[in-house]
Amino acid sequence: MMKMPTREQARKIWGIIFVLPTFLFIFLFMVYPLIYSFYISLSDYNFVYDVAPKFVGLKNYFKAFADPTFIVSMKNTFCFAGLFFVLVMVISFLIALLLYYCNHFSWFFRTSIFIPIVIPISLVCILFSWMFAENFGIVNYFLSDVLHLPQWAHAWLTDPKTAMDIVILVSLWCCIGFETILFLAGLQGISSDLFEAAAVDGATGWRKVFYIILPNLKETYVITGIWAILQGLKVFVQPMVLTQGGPGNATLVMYMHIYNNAFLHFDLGYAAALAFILSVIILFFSILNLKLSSSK
Amino acid sequence: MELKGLAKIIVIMLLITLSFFFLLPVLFAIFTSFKHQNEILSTHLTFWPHDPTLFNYKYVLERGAKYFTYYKNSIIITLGGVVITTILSAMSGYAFAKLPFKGRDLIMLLVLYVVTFPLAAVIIPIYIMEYNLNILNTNIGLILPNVMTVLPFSVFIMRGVFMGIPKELEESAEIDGCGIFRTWLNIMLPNARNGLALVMIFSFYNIWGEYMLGKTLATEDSAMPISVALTLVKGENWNFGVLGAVIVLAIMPPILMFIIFQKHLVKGLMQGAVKG
Amino acid sequence: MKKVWLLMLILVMVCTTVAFSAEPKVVRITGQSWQITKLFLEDAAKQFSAAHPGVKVELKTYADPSTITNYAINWSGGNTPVDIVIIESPQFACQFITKNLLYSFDKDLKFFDSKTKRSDFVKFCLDDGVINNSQYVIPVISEVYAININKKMFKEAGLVDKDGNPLEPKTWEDVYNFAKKLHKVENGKVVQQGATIQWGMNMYATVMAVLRASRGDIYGADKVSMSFNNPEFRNILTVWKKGADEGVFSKETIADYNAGRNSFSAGRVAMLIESGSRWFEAADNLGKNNVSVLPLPGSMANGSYAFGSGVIIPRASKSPQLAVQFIKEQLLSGKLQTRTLNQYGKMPVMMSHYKEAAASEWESLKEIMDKSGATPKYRDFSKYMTDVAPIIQTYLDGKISLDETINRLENLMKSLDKKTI
Repeated sequence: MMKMPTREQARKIWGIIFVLPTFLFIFLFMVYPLIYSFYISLSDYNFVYDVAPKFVGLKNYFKAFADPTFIVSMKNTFCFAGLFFVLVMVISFLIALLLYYCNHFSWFFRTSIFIPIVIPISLVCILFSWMFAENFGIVNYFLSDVLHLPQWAHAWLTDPKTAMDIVILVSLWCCIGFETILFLAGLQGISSDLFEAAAVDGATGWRKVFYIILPNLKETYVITGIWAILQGLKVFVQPMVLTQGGPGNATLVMYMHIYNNAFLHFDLGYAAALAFILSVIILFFSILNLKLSSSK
Repeated sequence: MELKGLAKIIVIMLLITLSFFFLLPVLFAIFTSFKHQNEILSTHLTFWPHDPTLFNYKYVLERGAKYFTYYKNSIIITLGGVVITTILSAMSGYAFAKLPFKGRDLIMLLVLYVVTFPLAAVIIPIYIMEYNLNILNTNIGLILPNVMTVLPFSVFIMRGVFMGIPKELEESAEIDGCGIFRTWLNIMLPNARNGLALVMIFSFYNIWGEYMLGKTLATEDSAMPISVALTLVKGENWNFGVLGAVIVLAIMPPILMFIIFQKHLVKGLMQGAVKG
Repeated sequence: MKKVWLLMLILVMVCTTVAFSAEPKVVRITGQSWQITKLFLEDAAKQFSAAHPGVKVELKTYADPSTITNYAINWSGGNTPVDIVIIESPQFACQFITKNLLYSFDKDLKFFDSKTKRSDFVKFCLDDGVINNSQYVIPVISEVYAININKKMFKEAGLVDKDGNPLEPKTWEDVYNFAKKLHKVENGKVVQQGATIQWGMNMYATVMAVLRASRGDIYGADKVSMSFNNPEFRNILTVWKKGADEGVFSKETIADYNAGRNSFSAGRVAMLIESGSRWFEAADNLGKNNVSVLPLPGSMANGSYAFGSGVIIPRASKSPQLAVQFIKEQLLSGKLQTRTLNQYGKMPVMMSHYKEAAASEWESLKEIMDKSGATPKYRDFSKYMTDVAPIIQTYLDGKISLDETINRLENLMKSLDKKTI
């Protein structure tokens, strides 16, 4: 009985020791830039024209919400992230189920589904923008010349109605692979005892999925959910390369607006404020995901 | 898990369709890399190269010996980053999952916050910091920020994995007289193999293909990683044949690694199925 | 006596060493990889080293213009990894002026002398590099907006005069009518695009080109703000919308600003309204006799939009005079400039370098360039660059009226800080 309190203390101390390297690493490397950025976000600071930042308080934050381009980018980001989140979670889960249950040719299937992960996103997006070109891309060529369905050929990336859909499609192509790995790892973590017990109880097929698999993937939802939220709200490369935010501002996302303000206009103060707004939104949804997953 | 009859056939058909969807653009890139410019830009588009050529690869590899440096840099940066990330996330993941200490949730939130912040907004402060520390254009100067971008999520993965390990294992280790460190090393880690495999895959492919930090912090040829160096053959606008060759050269090393280490990776990922 | 001679010898050696070590004998140049290729920098480096024994020339490459911004941090600290930076247009130099990080070629480096006179240059090119009355950028190559055409398609459509030369569109109505004649659709699929106009990321340049060509000046009454609310521009926008709605003007550049030049090189577009070097790029694929270039309506008299790559030297450089020598001897040499023109279609910046131009079209383009006006050097010019395209793209999509479009453009211009740095 004397062991218990000491063990508890030992756990606390070890806890701190184990976290310390990570914490120091993050603190030393990221915290300086973060704090510097926060200070800049409260200042009027143009990197090239101003000699030093001038403190102005929350002016940049108010400016953001009065900026119509920022509001449009926020709407676009939410549209993208909402659809993307649902699609990537559902599709990846289904694919993970298929891979879990199929033991034939698994090497081939896994390799082909995971391949998009290793390809640099910016390069493959250039390829996609060529493939979806209106008059001379291979997708329209295939539809009109091979399938003889020219009425299905469309101005995929230049029509404001379909531009965002194509960006979502390409993002799904890039991201489903890793999300599937995460789900697969989660599925394989479910001990077979549970399945045996269910078989004894007479559960088959779909019932197995709903009653055994779904409830036991709680930890996986946290991880896959957060990753999907990050990929959705922090999307940048795909709209930048595929449509450059166009047509009009139909695919301008928040990260792109931040990039434009930081690197094209050199308005570091405003860009930093936008970055903090975006990060708080992402944090909010991540915590939401955490809370929902653990109470499920 | 075995499926029978019709269900098996449907599953396999679905997987074939999906594989097709994922592989098609990659195959298109590979085939384009073997085409002449006039075939790519012709009015009759083709999928297969009608007149295969190695011209695009010659064009990309013209810079010759420098490629050795670029690949070397990428390998050092990626391996260094993966090793550091794996060790740190295995330690902190365990702490967040099993070891209660004051402020645990707060620190967890801080770690999570770091990854929500858009990189583009902090890249200039990071440049200033590295300039003052004199680590610009060095391998360590790229390893550190890259670890920063992958560490938070890796910690999350390991935390989830450790939380899934039943308490009984820990308690039996306690009864056997193991200290916390021994418990972690001998009991927890082996049971978290699939998490470690995940973290290694995640950090590997994120650091290997990382572009924004690379192009800003490594402007000299001697320190440039391959992900940035390959985009230097762009010309005023991308020649699609060259783009295809660049994509093939960029994905070859990771795919080779995947093929070589496939057995271990699959074993790690499958570890849960073996249990029980 | 011997001792005196020895002493004198040592003195001479010391003096010589001191004189030659005034500047380190290295010139480090950085540019984007296309600039290194199209300016034949590797050859230039070899020739310069051969002509000046003991001098090394190092070539570096930077990935894209945003990476040069960080050089400001090095330069503020007095260090620099490079002595010459080749920038995409003088616009990129503006960011370094406020903190006085660049050498002024005329005021600090005495660049212009009896051998290199201001009048040797194409007037526009040199003027564009003047910021705050100081020559901070020396131009090296240039391009000007015009109509790149596929001569074969013009001939097939009968749009040639009695000598077989392509007809020039004199107004934007002509451009529209030509495009209509040149546009071919089979089975619902476009097999030959009438015209493609740069409506993507570089729309800001197209707008400046058509404004200048049609009005002679891009500015309004105050000579500082660009003016959009005028009958010429309204007419142009109306024609653009008509052409876009009917499909004879392609919108492909909206998603990919390089789509136009790729399609043109593939021989699928009859007229490409963009930088006047695209026709030359396509000559390899289409044949030299099948491509040519025509002036934008009005540009022979009024000029168009021209831009080009230039060089800057940071104050932190320890070998500015050597850098100036390299620029004068290599980059501005007739041999290099003519070679660039005849191989890549990038126009020389000195009047005398057009003598050996292989194609006759370059003379008229040079005239157009000479009449073009320097790009505005507003502080907020980058905002104009990013915000003009979405407004006009929204108009072309039919979402806002012409009046609303002009309104938004004028408001944009009003909101810009137009102080020169």
